[in-house]
Amino acid sequence: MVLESRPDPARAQLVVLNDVRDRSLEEPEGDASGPLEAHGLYGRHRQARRYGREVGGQGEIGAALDHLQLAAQRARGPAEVWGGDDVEHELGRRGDVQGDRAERPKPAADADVEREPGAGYEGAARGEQGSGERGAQRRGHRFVVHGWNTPCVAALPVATRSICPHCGADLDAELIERDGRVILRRECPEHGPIEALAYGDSGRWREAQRYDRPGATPLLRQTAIDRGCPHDCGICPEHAQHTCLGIIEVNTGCNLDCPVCFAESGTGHQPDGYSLSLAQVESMLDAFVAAEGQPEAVQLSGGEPSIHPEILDMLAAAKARGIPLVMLNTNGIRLARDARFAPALGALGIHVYLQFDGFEDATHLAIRGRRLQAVKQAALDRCAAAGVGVSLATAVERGINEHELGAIVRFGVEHPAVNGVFFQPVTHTGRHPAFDPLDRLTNVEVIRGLCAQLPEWFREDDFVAVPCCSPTCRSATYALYDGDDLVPLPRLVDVDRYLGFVTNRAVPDFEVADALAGLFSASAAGGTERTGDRLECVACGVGLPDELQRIAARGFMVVAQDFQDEWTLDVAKLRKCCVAEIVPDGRIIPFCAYNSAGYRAQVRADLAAGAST
Amino acid sequence: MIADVSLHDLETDPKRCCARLYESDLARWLLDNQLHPGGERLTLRLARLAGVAPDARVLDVACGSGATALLLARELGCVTVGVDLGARAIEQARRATPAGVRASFLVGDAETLPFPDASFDVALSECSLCTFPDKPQAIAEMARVVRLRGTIAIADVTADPDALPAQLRTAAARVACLGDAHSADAYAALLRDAGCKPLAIEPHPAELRAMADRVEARLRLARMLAPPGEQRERIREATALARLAIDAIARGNLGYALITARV
Repeated sequence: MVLESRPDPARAQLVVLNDVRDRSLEEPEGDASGPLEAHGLYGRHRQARRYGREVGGQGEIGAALDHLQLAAQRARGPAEVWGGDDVEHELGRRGDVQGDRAERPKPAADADVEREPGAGYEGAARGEQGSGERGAQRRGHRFVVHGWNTPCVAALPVATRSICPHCGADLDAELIERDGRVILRRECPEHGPIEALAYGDSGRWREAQRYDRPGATPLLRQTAIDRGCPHDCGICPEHAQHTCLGIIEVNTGCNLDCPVCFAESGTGHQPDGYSLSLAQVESMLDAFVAAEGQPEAVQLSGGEPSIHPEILDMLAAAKARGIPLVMLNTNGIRLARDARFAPALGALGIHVYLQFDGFEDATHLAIRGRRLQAVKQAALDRCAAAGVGVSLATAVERGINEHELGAIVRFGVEHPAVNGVFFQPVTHTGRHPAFDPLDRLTNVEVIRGLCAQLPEWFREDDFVAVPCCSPTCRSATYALYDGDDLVPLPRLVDVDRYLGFVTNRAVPDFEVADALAGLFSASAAGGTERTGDRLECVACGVGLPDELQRIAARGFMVVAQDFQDEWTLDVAKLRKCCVAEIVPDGRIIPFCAYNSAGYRAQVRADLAAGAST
Repeated sequence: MIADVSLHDLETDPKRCCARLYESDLARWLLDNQLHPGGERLTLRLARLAGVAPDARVLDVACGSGATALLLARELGCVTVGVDLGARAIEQARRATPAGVRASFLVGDAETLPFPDASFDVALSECSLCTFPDKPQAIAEMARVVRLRGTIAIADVTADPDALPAQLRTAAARVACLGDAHSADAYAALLRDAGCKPLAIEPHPAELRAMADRVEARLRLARMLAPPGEQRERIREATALARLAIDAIARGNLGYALITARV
């Protein structure tokens, strides 16, 4: 509000810095090696703070000095009457200011302020949306620390490119707003107008755009730009994000024949089926390491990877390359039947990504073609016994299991093996039931459905758009659960202060401890001299580290993840994709392109041809 | 919930009890260090409505540990003085004052302000008038220490008292800023009674809602962390109170408003 009298954007920038600096005042000096410092994003904030203290601070002092003369005159009257040490305090400080003025250099140039990395990027990204005073206001509106309150600036329609789901032709496309929803619209010369629901709520879409942020660069670009996105994947130089999660499909064979399968796997003979060798998987892992340096997560998938005879060696090979999170994507049948399998995964430190679609027979029959509830329960119990952590992966389809979302989360928080649920609207690629592209599920419908089924635990704004990929791809929340109550973390902390806890990860569970530490850090308690033992009284005299660890260990993540298919492919979104298939020739192909732009068929055909020669 | 405050204090000396409560670590933690709804954004909005000029003399009544006085001094370049009944809060505020920021703090009572007449251009009071037992006296004091044609700026919880459930009107709710809240019109009437001319009433219920949500969630976490027994029970009661407040906000019976008046 004050900014209206300060239309100069550079001044507004100073306000951003000063705001960030405020928080630093609440922290003890010299705590730079605290647990949060290790995290990159927080490091940026930290940098902004230091900067604010040095540059913004001087700016403010300088501005204050301009008024000092007059104000000192005006204040003299009451000051003489008040008497006492307060006045001396005040006057003494004025002396300091004068001294400071003599010593310190002029405030840094505005250009330097603009370049500061932590505080500026979001404002800069939105800068073109507003101009003059209004733009300055937005920029001064503290995107960095108070995101929930930030006015929305993204506007529809947005031009992009897509494909024809019928013939694969590349088409100009646009995202438009209609009836409060966001629709991806294009026209194929051959097949006419094509529309599909891109996001279920245009207001939420705009809000999510605030969480977009620049991607990171992979170390290697394996392919050149030739035909244009999405046909040059590998990764090509146009791609705007590194790969958080690499997927290796080790086979096409499966022990189920699901009516829903984007990978078109099955039990019968597949003319273009394949089963990779351990050596192939090792070379693919090496390619991933070469592209990422230190990959964060890899998932072995299929087909059904657990039936591959060398699957444990493959998982061990991933672990041996220092990849912290190695996941096995499985339907759970081998886990349920083979008593040795879960302990073997436990010994390797593998996380299980378990297909888990609901509880009702109708759900299982519609999505999996078989009643699998007993199998899932047995698989989970074996994982719990073996100390294997599990994420439930739920394919959600309109009219089939939308009503089971709440029950799945309730089951998950109670089961000792489960630490998260990933809801994935069914992608209409490969095998899938008949559907209406304008009435499909997006993250919005999934989250709304869940909140309606579990109103005592969740509401829509507990879910944060994950800024790693395109922010409408993935929304997540992390909740603390103690066996009785469940509290979503975004209600406890200003999420934007701890964006890291859902940032930069396809499986964003690494920074929660930091956010929790921040929740009870010195700054959260408000004093300037708090230490760990002082914090005890904050939370009712409980020994915090132990209690927090106990609660955090029962923390639970809920993610809605909307993958694209031929109907919903939006090239602008695809460029930011951070989940990718690693293929045998070492290319890394964004998952949604792999499924919808012909790569899967091409890779299978290549492997089949290679096997026959 | 009210860790440092005994119920005896609450009945005999609610004003002092209140000041001490808001000094407490628990209260700060529950409120995420934001002792009033809307945080700095609404503070700056209030200052703008009050027409705080760069070199104005501004008094913050019930300043707590000085966040508002420091913010205004720093952002607007005014000279601020904070008064609070809590000695510890004043001490904290002094310690938090960086060199060069023209803010000073002293212990004092809102109903007998330790300043001569017409000492200030603006007197503001954020989220505290509703906790003062003698509101007309507090407003009269603000009017006295502000110069003629200066401004009084109030940010406070507003309530439709008759529509609030009984639990929200008890003494415990009073220190939580809810129990003795008036409607915005009633605050304006109090200002008028003190000889001031009300200028603006700006409602901000969403900011109160966000704060109540934060408190409710943190109480629930505190319950998880507390050992079973009496402490958990007390937290549970406080949580129930927070939920009643959230319901009342949703129904429009409880809100938050910025109110300014000319002396």
